[in-house]
Amino acid sequence: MNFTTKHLITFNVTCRVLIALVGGYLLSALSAVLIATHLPGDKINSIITGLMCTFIIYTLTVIFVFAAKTTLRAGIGVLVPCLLVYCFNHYFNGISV
Amino acid sequence: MKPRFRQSMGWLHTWAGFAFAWLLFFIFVTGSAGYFENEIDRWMMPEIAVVNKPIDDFSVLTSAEQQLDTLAADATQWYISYPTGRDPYIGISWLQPANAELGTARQWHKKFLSPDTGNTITARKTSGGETLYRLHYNLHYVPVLIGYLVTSLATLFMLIGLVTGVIIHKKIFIEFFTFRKGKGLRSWLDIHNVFSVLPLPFHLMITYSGLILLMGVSFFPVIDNTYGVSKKMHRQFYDESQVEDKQQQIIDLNTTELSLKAILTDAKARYENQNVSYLGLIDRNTEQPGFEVWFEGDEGLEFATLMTYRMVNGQVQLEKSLGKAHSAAKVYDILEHLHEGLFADIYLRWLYFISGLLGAAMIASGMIIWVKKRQKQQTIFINLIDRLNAAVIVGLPIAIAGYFWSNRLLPLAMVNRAAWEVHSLFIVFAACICFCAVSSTDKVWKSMLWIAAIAYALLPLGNILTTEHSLLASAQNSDWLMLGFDLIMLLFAACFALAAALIKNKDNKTVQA
Amino acid sequence: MLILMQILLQLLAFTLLSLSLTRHYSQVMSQAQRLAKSTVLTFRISGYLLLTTAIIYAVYSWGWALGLVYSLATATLVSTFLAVLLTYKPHYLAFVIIPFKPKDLTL
Repeated sequence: MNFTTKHLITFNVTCRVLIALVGGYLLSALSAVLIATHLPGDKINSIITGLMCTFIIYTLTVIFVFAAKTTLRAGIGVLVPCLLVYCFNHYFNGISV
Repeated sequence: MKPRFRQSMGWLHTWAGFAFAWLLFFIFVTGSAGYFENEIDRWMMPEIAVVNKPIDDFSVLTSAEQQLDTLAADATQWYISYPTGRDPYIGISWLQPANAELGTARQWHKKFLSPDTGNTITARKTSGGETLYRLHYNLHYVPVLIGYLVTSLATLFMLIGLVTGVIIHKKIFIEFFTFRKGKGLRSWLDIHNVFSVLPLPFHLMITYSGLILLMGVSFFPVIDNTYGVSKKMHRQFYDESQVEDKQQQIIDLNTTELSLKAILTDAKARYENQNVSYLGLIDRNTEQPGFEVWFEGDEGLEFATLMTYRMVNGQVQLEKSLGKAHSAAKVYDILEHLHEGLFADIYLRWLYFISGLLGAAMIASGMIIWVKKRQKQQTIFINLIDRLNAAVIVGLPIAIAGYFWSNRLLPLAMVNRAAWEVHSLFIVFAACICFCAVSSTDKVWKSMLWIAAIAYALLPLGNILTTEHSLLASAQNSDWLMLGFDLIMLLFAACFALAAALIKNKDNKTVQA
Repeated sequence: MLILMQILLQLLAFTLLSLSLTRHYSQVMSQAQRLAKSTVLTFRISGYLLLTTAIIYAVYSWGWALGLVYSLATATLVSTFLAVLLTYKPHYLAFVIIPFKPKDLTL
């Protein structure tokens, strides 16, 4: 292992950790908002349900990020759903995170 | 990360576990101790007189009311705690409102009553079991918010570790019971599996519910965006989600003025087989004071219930809680109660405690495997991690023993005594880390285990020397909590001694006690 | 009493399940042994049946929520105990095999 590949690995790992933690948080928070605003019935109920789902989504996202073949794919795989959910929330409710 | 899915998950399992292992070990150990919060409290307040014979509920009420009248005339809330299985003593507590003249803040006071004379007993100032178990989510020295966020993050890593662990464990059923002893790394992997797989339902439940308990803090932007920004709105959201369904009925009590005595008579007639655990008087000094009755064993898994009596338009109204109004809040409540285990009887309580310790042992064995896989490299870093493992894994139990010791050894009149008990826990912890840093790598585990064994073995002796509670006296006095605590300390000492005896100086391959 | 019943049922169930695994069967027999398919099946089915019975019994006596808590907690206790027993004193479990022994020896 030479100097540059070692650095490349470090860079990749750092990127993935950031995508997993920050991206995972964003995605799960956005999905929670989605669930909270679109679940039929009582509002409090929907918010609690949304909040309880966050950690499951978070965990799955982290697993996905580290299972993806390349760091780029992991990044896109988290960013695109984030944008989709964000647009959906924004378009239907005028909510901005 | 790696070409194959399982390999990637293996990598994630290793490093997600490694990242917060020490903190998670700390959380698991202090959290497990929390299941015996009341029992630890009893040991740390040796002045309390236990009730060891049947006692008349009404005479308790009379003497408690007498004391409360003189001590807490202007308090807004009164509580009288009756002897129960977990707290076999009589206590009174009251909420003293803030006093501008004296400059005192609104605060709770608690005193104990002697069952024979009815006089108050003042117990020593102690942090007790409560502070010990609170350590597992507030981390004591950091601001509360930071404590919540850091423990939440660590718990998330725990959840990731559990899920990836299940994914990478190929033979979960075939190796369900497998422990191959004396095979070095293989044995450690086996024991790690045993500690993780067998209590897996507990691990998943405790981790997920732990995250859920703090979700309002860790995911506050969700509430911001769906309910409302600002602290006030968060508070309102919390209150609204806690709304309970209540059953109200007007009862005929033949009285124009309620008293604790009247409601005790009524409650005892209504539920003949139940033991009263608390009597409460809330909203004192208002038009409509509420009288509460709590029963022992009513701390259900779904919800804890109580009965509240109030005078409404000259009639007596009885109100009983039926659980949370919102269905999601009900799920939340069940998870919260599962996490706290307050409903647990003695059998479940012990299993909670054991499962918690198995969780701690799982983390500890994971850390040991991490080091063992890299030991051939012989770098300073690996060596340092190995030493710190010893410092945390064995040092934390020693620190908790130090906490108990400080309760007996610190002078009773000391200023901030309770705070210094917690300080001594961390001082001992720091001392353990220093000791591990300087002692030789070969012997560090063995010497730490021996220190732990001695620290626990001498605790009952310290108890005899500093108080009048010897093992024999406790047994004669039917003071089962005191006796049980001392015996468990001896058991811990025996486990540590066994581990120390089994461990080989150079190659520490033994079952973690 | 209910708890004791629960422990005994699950102890038997998990013992049968562990014996359906070649490694533990050999440990108990103290010799390497290939298990006949029928024996494995007998152990496994009776084990799972007993386990289901134990869980149903727990749910029946304590209700859904508490029943599941009790049975899962007991499962942890019993299986941990068995794991230790199989490692250090496997022969204590021989009594379960005795009825099957002659049949196996012929195979």
